Amino acid sequence: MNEKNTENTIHGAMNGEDHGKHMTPRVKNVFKKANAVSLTPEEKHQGAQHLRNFMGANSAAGTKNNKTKQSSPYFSPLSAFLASVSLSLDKKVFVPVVAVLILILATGTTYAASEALPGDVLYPLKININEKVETFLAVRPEARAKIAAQHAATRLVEAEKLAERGKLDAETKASLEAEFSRQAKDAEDQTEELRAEGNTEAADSVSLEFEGSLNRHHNAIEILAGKTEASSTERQSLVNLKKAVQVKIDTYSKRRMEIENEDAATSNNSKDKKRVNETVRVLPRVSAGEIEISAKHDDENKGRPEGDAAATGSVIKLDAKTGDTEKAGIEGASSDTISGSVVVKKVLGI
Amino acid sequence: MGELEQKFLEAYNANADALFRFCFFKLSDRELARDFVQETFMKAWSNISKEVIDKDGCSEGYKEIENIRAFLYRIAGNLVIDEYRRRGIRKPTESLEDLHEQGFDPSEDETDSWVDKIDGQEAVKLIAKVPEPYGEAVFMRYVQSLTLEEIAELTGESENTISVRVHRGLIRLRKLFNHEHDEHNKHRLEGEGDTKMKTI
Repeated sequence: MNEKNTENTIHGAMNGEDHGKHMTPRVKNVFKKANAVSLTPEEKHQGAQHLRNFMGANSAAGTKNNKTKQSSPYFSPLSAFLASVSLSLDKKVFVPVVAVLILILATGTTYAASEALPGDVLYPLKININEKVETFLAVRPEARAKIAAQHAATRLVEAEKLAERGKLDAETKASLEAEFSRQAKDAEDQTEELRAEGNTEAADSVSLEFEGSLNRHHNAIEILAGKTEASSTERQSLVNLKKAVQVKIDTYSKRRMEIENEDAATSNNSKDKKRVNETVRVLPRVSAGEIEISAKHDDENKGRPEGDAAATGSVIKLDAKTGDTEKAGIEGASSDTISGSVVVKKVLGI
Repeated sequence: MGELEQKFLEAYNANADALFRFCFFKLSDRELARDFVQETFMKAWSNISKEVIDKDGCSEGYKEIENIRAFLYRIAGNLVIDEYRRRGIRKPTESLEDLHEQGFDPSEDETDSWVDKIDGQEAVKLIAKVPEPYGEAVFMRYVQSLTLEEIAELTGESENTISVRVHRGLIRLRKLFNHEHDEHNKHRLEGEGDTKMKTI
């Protein structure tokens, strides 16, 4: 129901229904404005989420037909196991055994949840428990900023994985994009707070890393969107997502330029100059972020079910596809390094 | 997530904004309109997903809703009617004065920019001032961009009737502009900015 649509209808009506005399520009303008009344994207997203929960609680499944199936591989074996245990044990033994089981399962489930994708049963757990706990545990401002940035990047990883499997629909994309924007904004705020506290070095390091990671995802999404087997709607979703990432990249690079200019203009002090120089030298940090993220992927892959490992593997491969052999080389070397920036310094001989 | 759920979410994405606009047109209250949209979809879902249980024993699948949009509009319309009944009024009215206070300043001059000053919500409220059933016909036709046929299906009236209503609604909307303009000018001339204005 966009403007163009209204315009067309109005013209059509003018010709066909002979209301032309009364359809003055002013009247048209009122219609156009009225048509712009809508839910905000957040409201819509919330509504969809709410509806999803409602549908989950009042599911059409569970009736005689088996049209709807659980999409998660985690859920069914688990409940089947529990059911078999409850059948084979009498009540006295059952209670403590179940208590222990629940404890084990809870730990296992949270772990499994960390790999869940939108649409999986465990995904809400990942968003509402795992990530909230991580945020809660991050006390220092630097850690908070890092965690927020990491969560934002995770949303993009999820979108990429889904797109790889051809499962990224418009709805999921919209909610992931909204979450990504929100968390990226959070990271931005935390970084600014860090800067306000005078901890500029930490702020610079976090924002540069995040900017690099965003650049990497931007490329990855571009490649996914260019894949021939992607459907047109999926491609459109990816293009939109890419735009959202671009917006953040622009924010970060603009802010970085400001800071660099500020520093360059105001400081006569050699220590500050040194900092600026360093920042400028390490600027090809696009690769820094890439390395770190890739290294993370590697680490994650070690303890992961095979299916997911394959999926992440392909995300990493995307970098290699860009033809940047140097980058690929660095990646190989960096798997065991904690900080990407350390590696860059090593590689660049800083 | 099942196929049906997926489809229904798509229907949500496609129709939520239009339904929200419709509810806002009827209620002139943003928050209330939001709640109504949500309730509309929940009711619709309950209705759609229940169909299968009704078949005794063997399922014949879900009831096919041929026109989900019409279905949703009907539910929303009923919710609105319930709300009117509950409140004991037909429609919440906002005096023209309120609009003026909000900087609403219509004038006869076509090139004047008063329309540029009102926002979308005020535009909707303005159309809502056209008496029923004409206001709704105009709203559905030109703001919601429904065809005469679709509106006829929704209201159960003939296309001809709807066409007439739209036509009359447009005339009234134009008159409303002029009326508001005259009223406004009169007040300006008399210098009685704070006297009660006559509502239509």
